[in-house]
Amino acid sequence: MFRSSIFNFESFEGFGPRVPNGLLCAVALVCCVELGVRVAPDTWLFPYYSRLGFRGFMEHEVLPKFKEPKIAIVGTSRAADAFNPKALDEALGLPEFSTVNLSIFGSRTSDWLDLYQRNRAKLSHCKLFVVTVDEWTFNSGVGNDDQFSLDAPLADRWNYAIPHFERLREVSPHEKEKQREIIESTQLKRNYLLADWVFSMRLKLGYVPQAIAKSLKLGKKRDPIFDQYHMVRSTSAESGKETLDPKNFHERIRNFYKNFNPHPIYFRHIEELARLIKEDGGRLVIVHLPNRRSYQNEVDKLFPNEYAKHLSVTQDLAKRVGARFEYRKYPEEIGLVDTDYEDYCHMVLSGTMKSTKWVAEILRSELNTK
Amino acid sequence: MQFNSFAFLAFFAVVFPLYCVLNFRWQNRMLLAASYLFYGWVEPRFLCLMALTTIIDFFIGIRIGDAEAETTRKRWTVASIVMNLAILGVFKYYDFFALSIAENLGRIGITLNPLLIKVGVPAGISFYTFHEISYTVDVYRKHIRPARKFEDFAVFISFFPQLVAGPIGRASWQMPQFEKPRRMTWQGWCEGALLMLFGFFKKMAVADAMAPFAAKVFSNPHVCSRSQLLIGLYCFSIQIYADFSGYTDIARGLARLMGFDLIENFNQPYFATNITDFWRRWHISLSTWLRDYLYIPLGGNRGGKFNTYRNLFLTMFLGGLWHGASWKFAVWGSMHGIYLAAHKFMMGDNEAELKPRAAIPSEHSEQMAAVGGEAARDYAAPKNVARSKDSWPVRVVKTAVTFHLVALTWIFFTAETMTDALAFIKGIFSHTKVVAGKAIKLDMGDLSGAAAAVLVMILIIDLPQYVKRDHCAILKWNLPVRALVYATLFIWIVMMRGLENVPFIYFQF
Repeated sequence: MFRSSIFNFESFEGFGPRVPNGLLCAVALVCCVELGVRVAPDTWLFPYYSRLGFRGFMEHEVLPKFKEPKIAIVGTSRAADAFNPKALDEALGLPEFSTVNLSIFGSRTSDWLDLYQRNRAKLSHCKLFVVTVDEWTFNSGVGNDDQFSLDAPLADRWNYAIPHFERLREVSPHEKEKQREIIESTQLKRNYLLADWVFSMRLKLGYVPQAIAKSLKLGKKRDPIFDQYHMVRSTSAESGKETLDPKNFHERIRNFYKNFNPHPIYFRHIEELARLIKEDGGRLVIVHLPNRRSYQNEVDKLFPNEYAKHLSVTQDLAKRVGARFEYRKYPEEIGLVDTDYEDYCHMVLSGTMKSTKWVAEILRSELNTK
Repeated sequence: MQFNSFAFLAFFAVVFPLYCVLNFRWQNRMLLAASYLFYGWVEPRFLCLMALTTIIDFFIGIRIGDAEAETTRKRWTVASIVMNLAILGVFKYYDFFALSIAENLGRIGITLNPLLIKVGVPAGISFYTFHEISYTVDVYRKHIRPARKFEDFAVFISFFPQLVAGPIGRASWQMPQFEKPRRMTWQGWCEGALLMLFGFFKKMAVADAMAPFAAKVFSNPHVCSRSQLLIGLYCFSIQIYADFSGYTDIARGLARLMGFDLIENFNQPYFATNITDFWRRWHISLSTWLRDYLYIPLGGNRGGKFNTYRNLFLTMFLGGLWHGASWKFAVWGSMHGIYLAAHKFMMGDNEAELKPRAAIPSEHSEQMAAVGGEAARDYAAPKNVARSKDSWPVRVVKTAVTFHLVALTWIFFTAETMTDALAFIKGIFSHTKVVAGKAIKLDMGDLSGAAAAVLVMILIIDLPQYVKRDHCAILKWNLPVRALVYATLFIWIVMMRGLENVPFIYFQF
């Protein structure tokens, strides 16, 4: 062994190494678990009612009902509850099963791109592809990004925090502190994305007990329901008086807007989606639905700049990809009243009909545009 | 730099291999540089402050060691203590007391606009100040010789595993370890890695999982039902134990890997059967520090019953204030002072209940005495904690009572204000109904997950340690069980995906 006056390994005298059997066995166990969840098919692992399983439900249970859809809608639970495909078909004078609502609760840009890529043969028939964005759709500060965490290429994970460092040079000194917080949160998310790349069990292992229960037919069946309106309503809406207290909105609002930072990676997904749709001869429409008035009032009080920024970056994105962007800030602008909402944004059937009517007008003009 | 961060992972990935190949002198120099980098990562503004007090205390130590006259030695010791406490006072307490005085004078019509420092509390100042005082006093008491090499002393003060949240280093135990070459052993590596695994599990799987519930309840005590308040209180009680003992385990594990032995800081405190027992098991490095450098100099139990109770109360009151410049910490400390005095009063002359029984022969204790002298033997506290002779049902009841008494004090420790703390207690003990539509919601699914982690912590970590009186008892288990335990803990840690890097609670002190 090389020895010098500085490097002399003296601490190792009498070290007495042994084979770390316990450690090796533990590593083998961890590898087995990781391999197990990696090879388990998604259809077995993710129950339809789960966020990651919902895509499977859409692909295997909903999409086959539509032979050649003309309009496809994607978005989150808000869009799932807001648009009635059957009513849209009627309003637009299209045959039944022309409009499909593929909204998945908690989904993000990568899910929509992924859904299109996986089902391109069928979705390429669509003349219009409607993307319903939420305030947090492009925000890197929001965490629920499961599909992206599983599927993102290594380069996207590795470079996740880089755009934010670049932005640090551009911001004014008084904004630097805020930007640093954003960087910290983005770095943490980058680290998680890297950890997810190594250990897919981080996301998948939690589903194993449910998958086993499902295989053994234990517990009650909780599959989503494709209803008579051709909708798959989400179960995300919250009920109870306390959910309507404006003060109780604050926690949610802070979660959505904390470290608010529209991330280029999410724009890239939409840009790629727009490119594919264009290639297939379709057209992209981006819409943003209004929140319940009492909730929006709190947003206006707490994060007005962030909300405005969300709208402006979405507008810019729409311009870049040549898509139409339609939004309404307040519910009364499309005739929605308080009772049309179940919670801060999810709609009951009366609200669904009003928002469907509103979007039908937009889509009609788009269909008529050459 | 947080232990539970990727920055620390990268830091240690560089420091540890380097440490392994260097000779002992260069190890100390490299550790010193690494510790300052570690501290500067958190508090670059206050690096100079730590360096300044280190330099002053180093030279004072030499003066005390060289002086022959008792008065000179005493004078230098007092100078060091005053300097350290003055710096601690200015940075940690000045603003608080200045504002409190101004506020109280304002009530009687005297307006005062005090000059405030407003620079924030330097991270870890309470810990390294106590390291420094321990060194000076131990040199004065001739428990150790003064350090002759500055780097040895400086690295003892700033040693990164224990710098910002302890365990509070005792010079008579630790200084010799910095002055002689360390030996890394296979056993030390196994123990170090195991302690780190335990520490990360406690922090990331238990404390961080409990944190959102505790935070939610403690920030809205006015709109919580009684059951929610109790859930919040239990969650915080578990969180603070898992968080702080997790930090200690990681610190001790890191040190063990490098061939150091830090004193044990926790010994299943919630299994304590009375409050005195609790303080022998909770934050042992602080409680023994307070005993040796505050309670005993105050007179300890030598001046009659009243003076003993007064000294206990004063020690715990000041121990409370040590945590932070706030009356709520003072109340927390005072409650413990009252508990301890009351327990001593109830026990009367039954000293057996209060004192550890005859020291259980332990390698650790002997080893400590060999390196740090007789004064260091006491620090092997966990081996010396006696078990109650009561039957197990009585012990369970006593443990439950002690736990709830302690939990009650956490309300003051963590509530945002005194008003919130009082509202919390009122909520627990009254039948006030929460107005419909105003109540908070706790996610019972997530809470069940967190509770499962607590169960794993108790069954895999705490119970074996308690039964075997050995923090690394698992190393003696058979291979398949050990492997299963390691894999389970590791997978559990890997599975955690909180949105924020929750800092260790004791980082703020």
